[in-house]
Amino acid sequence: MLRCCSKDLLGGTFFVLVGLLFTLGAPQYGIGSAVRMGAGFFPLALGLLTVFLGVIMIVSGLRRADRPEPVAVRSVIAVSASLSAFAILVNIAGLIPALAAAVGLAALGDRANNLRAILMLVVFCCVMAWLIFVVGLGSPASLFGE
Amino acid sequence: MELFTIGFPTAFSLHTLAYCFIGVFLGTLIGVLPGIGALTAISLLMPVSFYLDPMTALVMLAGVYYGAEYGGSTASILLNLPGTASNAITALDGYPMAKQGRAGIALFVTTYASFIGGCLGVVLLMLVAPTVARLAVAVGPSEYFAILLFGLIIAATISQGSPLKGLGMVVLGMLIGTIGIDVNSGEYRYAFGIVDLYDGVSLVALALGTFGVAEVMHAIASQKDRGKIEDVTWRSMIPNWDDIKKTLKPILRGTGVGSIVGPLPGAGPTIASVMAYGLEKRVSTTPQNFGNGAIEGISSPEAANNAAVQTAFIPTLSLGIPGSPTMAIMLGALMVHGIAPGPKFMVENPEMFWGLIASFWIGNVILVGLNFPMIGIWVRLLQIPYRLLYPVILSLVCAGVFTLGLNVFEVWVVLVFGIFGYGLRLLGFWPAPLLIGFILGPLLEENLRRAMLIAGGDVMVLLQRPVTALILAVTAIILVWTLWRALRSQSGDEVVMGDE
Repeated sequence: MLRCCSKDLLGGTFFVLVGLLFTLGAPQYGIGSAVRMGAGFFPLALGLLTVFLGVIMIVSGLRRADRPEPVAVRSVIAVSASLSAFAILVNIAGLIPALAAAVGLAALGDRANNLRAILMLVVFCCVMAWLIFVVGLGSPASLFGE
Repeated sequence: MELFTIGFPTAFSLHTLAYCFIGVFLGTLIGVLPGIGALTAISLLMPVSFYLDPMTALVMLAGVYYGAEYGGSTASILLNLPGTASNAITALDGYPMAKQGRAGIALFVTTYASFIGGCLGVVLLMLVAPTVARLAVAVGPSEYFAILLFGLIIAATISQGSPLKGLGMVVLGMLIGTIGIDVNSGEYRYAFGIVDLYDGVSLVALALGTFGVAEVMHAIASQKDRGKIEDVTWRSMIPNWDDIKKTLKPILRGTGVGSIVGPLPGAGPTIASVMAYGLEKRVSTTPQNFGNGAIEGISSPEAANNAAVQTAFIPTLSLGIPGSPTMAIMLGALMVHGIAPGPKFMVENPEMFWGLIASFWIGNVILVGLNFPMIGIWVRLLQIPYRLLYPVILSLVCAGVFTLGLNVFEVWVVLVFGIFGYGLRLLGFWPAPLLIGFILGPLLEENLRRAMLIAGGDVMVLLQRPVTALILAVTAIILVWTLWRALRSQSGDEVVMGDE
């Protein structure tokens, strides 16, 4: 998917797009003048600079053929699922179930982790987080839902 | 003298000592464990530090930073796997030494090289920082703007990876820094109506995403299982006089390199250790021994990275310009505590500066104590495979970010920046300059606005101030030279190294 073009071509395109996004958004905050700069002045300048740098990257990327490394699909999915599960569950079920889900899903990112290892990790992480954040720091986060 | 009148009395409270110990202990721990760097650890501890007073928080976070440099060499020597990126170079000669049965001596040498490098770095910090701060008190917005700009450009051009990409990341970081309320006009910039973004992107979430989570995504697939490690006995750590004699000059040279590289913004201990190794190989009369267990090849880089860590505090505390990405995080932590970094920091908070320095002395002594008697424990910890380690890191990220403000939004921000950081990493972009841009960007804007207001909007007026003009001229030369080189070079990534 990412392996069609050189690193700099992809990176440069990304910078041009982000730069354009900020540049186009800037005028609505007021550009002002050089003496009294509006809220949009600085982002506008940075946005244009980003586009400029992106173009240079694209130009230098056209001459190269270094392909990006392949994406570690399993790792990315496991880590994303882990953080998402935590974010979704923590307000519904509480800190401990959310952490258990997050640790369990994260551990699946490495094939070598068997059920026993995962269970051990879940227990260890939950106890540790409880000790550090709730007992140690006195965080008011609810442990098991309302 | 302020060290004894203000510093030690402040640092010698039981409370501060305890957190100094926690800091250096955790620093050694994460230094020993491959796959977690000081930057991730400090971001993780930032939520914890908000419960402390600023002085104690700073002492603890700093302890993690220099503690990691001590612990990092253990994995390099025993496993050929760097504990942190700045110890990677130590593996070149440390691992062959271990294979020759000299692991104990290698560990001893790296510890005392770290200690000497660190202590000389602190001495330099004590001498230079107050002088710089005294000179800097007089600077106005235009000079501060020029210094900030200079710092940003240096951060972009001498960090790892290509300078063009570094520059891109600095600007991107500054753009992310514009998100949220603009203090001058009260305008909510790029918040898209999301209330959670009104205060801007949080530093903790950005740092944990681009460094911590992105690093984990990368490392799960690439970290291999570790082999069996021999136990290291205390007796095997005693070097003979010949070994010690061979290391003295390399340690001093390494300290010199570290002290020059350390204060430069963006160039942290990693670059210092690589440069020190290169220098040592060049001045050696037996360069063929390097890579085969040369004791000079481990003493110089270890002294260099510790000296770099301590001297990175010079610009951070005296000018408000972070000497490394990790220093940028520390500046951010100070700001959250309501302390404005910048030229006036040391004048307004002498007890904090001298207390911190005193804690460095105490911390370095504790570290020697931690590293010698406890070596067996650290070696055993190294046997934990990464597949059991990273779920623990992720659980700390989740719980830490969430309990910071009981706000789920922050967890999503971490995830978004994690994916974003991982993607950019695959394309050869490193996150360190992004973080520096994010922290310095708002300061740059603020001072630019003030300077232009004073100058009546005329850029030429700025250039009539000699100091401003000089710094801006130097910055412009570096910038043009960088872009010129980037356009001409055939390979974009000359140096590729890990994180701080």
